[in-house]
Amino acid sequence: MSCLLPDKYISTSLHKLFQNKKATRPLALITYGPTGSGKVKLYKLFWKVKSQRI
Amino acid sequence: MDSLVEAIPDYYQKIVNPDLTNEQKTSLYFDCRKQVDDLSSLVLAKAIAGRFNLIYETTGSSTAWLISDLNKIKSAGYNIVFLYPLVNWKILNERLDTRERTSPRKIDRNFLLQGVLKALSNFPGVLDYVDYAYIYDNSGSKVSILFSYDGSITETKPSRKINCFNSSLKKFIDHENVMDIIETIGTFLLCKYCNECR
Repeated sequence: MSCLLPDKYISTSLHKLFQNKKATRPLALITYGPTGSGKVKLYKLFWKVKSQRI
Repeated sequence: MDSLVEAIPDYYQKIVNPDLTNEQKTSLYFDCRKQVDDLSSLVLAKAIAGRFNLIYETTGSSTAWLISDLNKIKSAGYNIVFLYPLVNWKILNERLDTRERTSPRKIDRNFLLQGVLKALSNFPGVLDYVDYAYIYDNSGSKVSILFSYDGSITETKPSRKINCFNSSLKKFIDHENVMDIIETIGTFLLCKYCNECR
């Protein structure tokens, strides 16, 4: 069983937020939920995507 | 957070003591966690002052501190994205059972259950402070978006999208003793933010 969120879901829901490389607003990513829900894996995946975009 | 807690001197030696009950281990964890929280506040203040991108991790059990921080973050002009991976209660327990085989930290399940319920009930109050919010079903390899929010709840925007997840919410916590609570929370969530479930 995998608790990793697939890249495609990060892509479809969040990629668009980072398409503008000239965006001046810094990003605050809030991960929320109980221990074991996948917060850490989620933000690691998300940060990987973001670092590829900007 | 847990990595920082484990780095506190003597924490690891104490937490692996087999004579400690799970309740005592939970208490020890949160005693040490206070020290990490102080450090976290300093790091957050420095990040905001420097306008760094930031990641903020919280269980959602209590949101007073979170909302206080969100006010600071919002005032500094951040684009705030809120991510809530929701996991079936039974699967969450299985994952923690697996994790606990290799970790000294033991999670008291009653404590955890209360945290799960509080996170759900606290969620609507957080929406007022974020720009985007997403709830994911993270119970298995097949993942789906259960809820998405785009825009401020205090403004009427035609582009605002909220998906009803009333029907899917019940499958996450099917514990017979908490079904009534979950249904109440679900109704509250959906009645406040979504008319699709009516």
